[in-house]
Amino acid sequence: MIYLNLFWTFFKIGLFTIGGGQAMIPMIMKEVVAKNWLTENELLDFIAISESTPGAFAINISTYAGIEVAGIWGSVCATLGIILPSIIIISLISILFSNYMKKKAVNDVFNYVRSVVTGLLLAVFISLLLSVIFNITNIYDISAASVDYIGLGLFIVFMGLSFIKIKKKKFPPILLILASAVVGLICYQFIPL
Amino acid sequence: MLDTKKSAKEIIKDAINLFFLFFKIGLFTFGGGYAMLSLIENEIVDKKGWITKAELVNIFAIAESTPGPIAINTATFVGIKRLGIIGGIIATIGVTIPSFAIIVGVSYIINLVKDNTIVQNIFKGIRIGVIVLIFRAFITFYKSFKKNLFSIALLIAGFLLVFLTNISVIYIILGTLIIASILVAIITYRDNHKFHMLNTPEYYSEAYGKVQENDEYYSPLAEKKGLIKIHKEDER
Repeated sequence: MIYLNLFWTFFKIGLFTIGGGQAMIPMIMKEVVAKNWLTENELLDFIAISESTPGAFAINISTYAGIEVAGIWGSVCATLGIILPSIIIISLISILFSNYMKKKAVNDVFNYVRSVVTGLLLAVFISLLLSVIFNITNIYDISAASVDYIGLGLFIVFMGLSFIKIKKKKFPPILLILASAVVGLICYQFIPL
Repeated sequence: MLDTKKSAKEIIKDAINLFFLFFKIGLFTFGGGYAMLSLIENEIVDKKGWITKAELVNIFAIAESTPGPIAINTATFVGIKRLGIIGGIIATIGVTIPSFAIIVGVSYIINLVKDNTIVQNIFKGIRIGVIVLIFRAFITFYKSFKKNLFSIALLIAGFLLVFLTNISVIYIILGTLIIASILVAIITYRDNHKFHMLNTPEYYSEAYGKVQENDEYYSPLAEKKGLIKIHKEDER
């Protein structure tokens, strides 16, 4: 049943998200795209929308995936699935082991999880780069590449842009999305391929 | 924690207050858990005085190092501190509803306009911007863990597994939790009497410039984000 499937998938994602919403990206990419719930492009579009609307990324993405797959009740199931692990785990921690996080051992284990998530994010980044700009969806057929030169140019420009600091703070993500929307529209609309 | 002396009327009033506070926080949080922290500080520490700043830093340190999205963990934790488990559920639902409602509306609009050529070209550009954002997430994570032989090996293994195979990411993280737990258990057993660097009173006082209280934790990620600096200034 689709509702149960949505709930269970997002429950698992919520349970294994360690280190904030960004840590969810590789899991969402693999689970949601592998199940054909959203395409890779739809997911990328949605990450941009999520960054530009209020609310936690986790809730935004589960609501959106749920509604696209099975309407409003689908989104209720997916969202409940993502918040339930937090409620259960935090309740347990606050009641049973208030000293649990002080343990160096717990911190060390999560430290290793963060290092794996770093590797996952790198893999997702390179896979997306290959599929969006070089049209390679499977790493094993690299010879079928066809380069989107506008995209490649934009990528280099945005990469440089994202390293600019404003008042010693990182370039704001919303501004980056806004800039990419405007520049993307101008380039793709008016440069003939 | 839950104050048993409160009358039923006060508890209901508190619950309603809690719901709307987190509703407001959910409505105005842009960019995830870290952005939420300053809003919570403003609303709940400064205006309401429900928890102290030191308590908030502790809650946040726990929220970012337990499973689950940081924003939801923090909401649940603050709610529990105020009104017990019911409070945790109320705060979490409060923080969820604004996002939920906005996304339902947004998905409706997307489906109306997604076949428009201009919209498609806008999204072609945006996708590339998002890829850059994912690269930045990678950098943030790369800075967030202690480097040693094992953590770098895990990074490479995680990368290769996702890049070259179709193994579910959930199993990769579950596997890491198991392997890391075994490894950490072995090391902890072996080094039982050695000095532990993180989350000891010694390291804590070095990081914060004050003595560790019973319920205070050290948070390496919060330090990276500059959150501890606020805390330090607070103490002077």
